[in-house]
Amino acid sequence: MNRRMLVNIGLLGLLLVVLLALPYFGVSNFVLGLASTILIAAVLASSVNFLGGDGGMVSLGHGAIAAASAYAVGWASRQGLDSTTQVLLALGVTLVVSFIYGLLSMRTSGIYFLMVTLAVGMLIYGLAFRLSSVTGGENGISGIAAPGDLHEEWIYYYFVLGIFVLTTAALWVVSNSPFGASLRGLRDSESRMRSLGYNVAQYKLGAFMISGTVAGIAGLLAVWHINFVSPSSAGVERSVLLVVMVILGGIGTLLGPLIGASIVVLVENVLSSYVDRWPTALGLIFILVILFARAGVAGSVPKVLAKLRGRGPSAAPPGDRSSSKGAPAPERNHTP
Amino acid sequence: MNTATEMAPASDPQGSGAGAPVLVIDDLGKRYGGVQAVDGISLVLEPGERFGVIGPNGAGKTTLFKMIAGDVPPTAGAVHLFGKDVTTMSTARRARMGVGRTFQISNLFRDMTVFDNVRVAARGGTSKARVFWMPQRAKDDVSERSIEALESVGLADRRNLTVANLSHGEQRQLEIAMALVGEPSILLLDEPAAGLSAVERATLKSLIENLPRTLPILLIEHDMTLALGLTDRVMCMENGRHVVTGTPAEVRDNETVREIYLGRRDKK
Repeated sequence: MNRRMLVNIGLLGLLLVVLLALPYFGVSNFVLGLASTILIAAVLASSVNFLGGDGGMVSLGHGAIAAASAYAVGWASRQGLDSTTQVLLALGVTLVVSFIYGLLSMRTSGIYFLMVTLAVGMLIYGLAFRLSSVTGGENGISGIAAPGDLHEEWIYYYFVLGIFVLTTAALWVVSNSPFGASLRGLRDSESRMRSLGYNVAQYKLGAFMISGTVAGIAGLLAVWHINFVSPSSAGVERSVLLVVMVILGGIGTLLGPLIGASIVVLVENVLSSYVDRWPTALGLIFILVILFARAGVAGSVPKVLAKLRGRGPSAAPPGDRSSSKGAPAPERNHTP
Repeated sequence: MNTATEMAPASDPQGSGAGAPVLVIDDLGKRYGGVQAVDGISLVLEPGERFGVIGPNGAGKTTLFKMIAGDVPPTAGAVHLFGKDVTTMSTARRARMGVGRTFQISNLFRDMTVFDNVRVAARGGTSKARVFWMPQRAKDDVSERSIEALESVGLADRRNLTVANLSHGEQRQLEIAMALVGEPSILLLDEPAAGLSAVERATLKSLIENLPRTLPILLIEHDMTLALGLTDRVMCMENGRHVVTGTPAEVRDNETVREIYLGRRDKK
């Protein structure tokens, strides 16, 4: 147990060093920009992952929350407001939108939750289109500049990396907190939680607010990065891709969102320059993962390793709970 | 409140409200469409009393239980807990008033550890359960109470296992630990021995027997022997209706109860 924790912490440290050193490898701005895109997508995916992994609430509306936050920044920047105001406004809009989402969805679960978040997401998409005095309609808002030196690609990369580490750490703490345990309780049995005195809706609302806030932060990072926001960023496809990222990476795992975001963003941006049918490729990857590694990459690799180790001469170390018993159920503990 | 049952103040000095009944059910009924699942049931649970409800399958025991716990609203009558009318109160609020309960089919957090199951139960919807800014501690008040509760049901050494890896009997024990850790003022047990082997049944029986005598218990049980051995008073139900209430000996010797449990073929 302890040894495994040390290994995990070691791997996390190694990953962080690699990410920190990336600009020193002499990579082009294109690669750095791509890395930022991946990290931003990972922040957004981690918000979906938190709600889905711990809360059992799979949302199809998080793309729209991020878009609402991005629109807030865009509107503020078009009004000539400074970056602090932009951030505060984005945060305010994010909280309000998340609260609306939460209120509408807190009495639902499973597929109904998914439908409600989908519906609210489409509402935001519609608003982005129709409310053109604020959103610029179909054209969106362009020329949204990041403040200060953040327009430099490598500086922005570090900025994004910092936020990614902070939000990931924050979500890890929440997930391991008493609230996180309550949330997993809700995921496993709402009726039991009620019989223990829990106000179920309240906890769902709280979880949505936390998750939505992280999504809003990702929206802010994205709009400062690509300097542009349009209705398509609020579209259902974005939200679907987020769920794809979470499942590819491994729902309920710490690094799953990063892995899933890497796969999706790389396929979307790199593979697409070689093949036109990149969505087909993504779909194939997705089907393979669903068929052969339901727990996603981050969830399946430890299982495979454990199995390989178990086949060797030395049995699994004591205390190492081999979770291969629970066969296809996704590993929900936060192990990287 | 025209409670049909006599309200003799119990001599028990402990409990809530100086000897006032813990639970009063008054002419409670539940109708599902054309089916009268529970029909005019009244009962009074005194402080420290262990009360059993027995009856064959379909007698309405579980519906009665659900109306007491708050899962199902009655279509007639009233439920009073600790002197308060809770007929329209939610399950969660009744739980916060001090109702601990177990489920007939184990209702546990299957993907969580045994320890976390009990810790979530121990926090019971209080502000402690809303702490999101720091990780759970292995040694705070909640964790200590949880370990005590696990010790009391003999599961302390299994606490790091996931619930899915527990045996059926252990899951029943965990059910009880989760009901006890919130320090309830009344314990509702819904067929705690359902599906257990004879050995597991004996373990569970002694577990319930050794609970503090001050804790009032309402036990729903299909198995007559188990119910009669654990309770001070027993009510037998059939087809949603009250058949007889009395001491275990009285109920055991009751002609109608015998017919219900052994069949009434010779009467036809």
